[in-house]
Amino acid sequence: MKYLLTLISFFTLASLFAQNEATKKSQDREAILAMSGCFDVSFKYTETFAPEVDYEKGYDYTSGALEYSKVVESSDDKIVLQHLLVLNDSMIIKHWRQDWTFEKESYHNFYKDNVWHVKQVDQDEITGTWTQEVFQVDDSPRYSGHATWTHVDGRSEWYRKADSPLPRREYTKRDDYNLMKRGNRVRVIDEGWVHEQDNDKVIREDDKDDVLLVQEKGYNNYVRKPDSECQAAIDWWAANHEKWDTVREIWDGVYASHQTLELVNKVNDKRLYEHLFFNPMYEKREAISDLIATYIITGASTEDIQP
Amino acid sequence: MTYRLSGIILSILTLCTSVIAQSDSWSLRLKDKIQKALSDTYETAETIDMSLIETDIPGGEKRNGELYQLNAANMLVGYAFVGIAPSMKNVFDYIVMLEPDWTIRKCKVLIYREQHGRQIGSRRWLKQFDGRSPGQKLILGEEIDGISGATISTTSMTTSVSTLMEYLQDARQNGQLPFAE
Repeated sequence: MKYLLTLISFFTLASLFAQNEATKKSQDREAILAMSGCFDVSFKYTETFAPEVDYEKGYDYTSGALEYSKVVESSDDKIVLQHLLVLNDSMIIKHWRQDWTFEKESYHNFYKDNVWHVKQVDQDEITGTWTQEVFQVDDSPRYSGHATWTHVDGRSEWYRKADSPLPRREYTKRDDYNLMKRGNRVRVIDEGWVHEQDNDKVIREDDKDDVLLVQEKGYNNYVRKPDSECQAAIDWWAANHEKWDTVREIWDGVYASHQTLELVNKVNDKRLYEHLFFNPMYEKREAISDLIATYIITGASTEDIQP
Repeated sequence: MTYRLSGIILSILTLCTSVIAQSDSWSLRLKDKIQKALSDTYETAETIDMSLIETDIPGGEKRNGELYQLNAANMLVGYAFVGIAPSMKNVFDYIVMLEPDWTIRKCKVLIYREQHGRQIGSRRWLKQFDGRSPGQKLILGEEIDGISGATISTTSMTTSVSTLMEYLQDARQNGQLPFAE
């Protein structure tokens, strides 16, 4: 009888624990999916503290846009959100992409100067975490990190510091730092969601300690709008997703076959997105695959990048 | 004629060694900061050579400095005064960069050695010195606004720049420096 009670207690606890885990994971998924839809977005960045007294702070950066975030994939362990900019109600620009994967064991982590290394996550810190991988407009890598979602007081939050390349707004304007340590805080709220950032602009050199140039505060506020306001983006994705599904698949193959990934900035004086966005040559898988291969320095070969 | 004569005197006074940073007392960090300040301010890709101009600018252990002529590709681009001034518990390094006509182009605090009063490095405060001419007396709270929480350092910087401007005016009157008429 005593053994029976113990067994019942054990299974009851195990069942409750599994139920809690499932509920928590379901809340996590709900929070991630809450970032999809149509949003009025404002971008605000300001430099704050610099360790050196002679550093002259850059100008504040502010911008705004209408943005549609499309759920491209949604399975139990993975959600892919493709962001699309809507300009002047009708012009669509494929924007960044974020992939969220549950308990991902490894991902490409930015080092510096267009180099990414695979980071293997320790087993003891992987349980319950979601990895956010952020990609450029051409689906090449940007930055990644893993952390646990929290759900308290009606807010869902996720925070991770991630090494990343320079942001697009400074990529061609600044050469006084080569690494941004992004403090990424994603906060889902009733009105939409906030991407709050506490960033460090850092100078990284091989075999030297990182040097902090200046810190930066950033707020990207996403205020939810009716999907109808982003209809042009919905239509655009419906008409163009096949090409970009292919691009994504090719890159998936690249990531799977490269422990270290080093990319060149330009081929034929153009960045990858310029070829993919504007050159009609690159519509078919083979042409896109060959094009992407030309941007890969480390161990690149056509065989390497088959999906 | 006055200008030419002053130029000759200056040439005699100038130690024409083509060096990037002149003073032996400067650390490598300070030399780098001076070069960066000069290249950013004078917006030239050329190396800016600093040639020491001997002066007798009044100073002391905690407030002194040296005046330099700046040349890029053998062309005069301006002048610079590199000095130290007292903060609350230490001294800070600063540079006053001048136009060829000796008006102030830009001031920068280069190295500051304590946490209190670091605000004096802000461009918003330092730009109050831009465009000031030799002979202009500068007083904190009058010509130059102060910064709450950095009274000692702002007073110190203002005094130093004002002393430099007064010296330059005297040097102009005495024909010691090449001033265009």
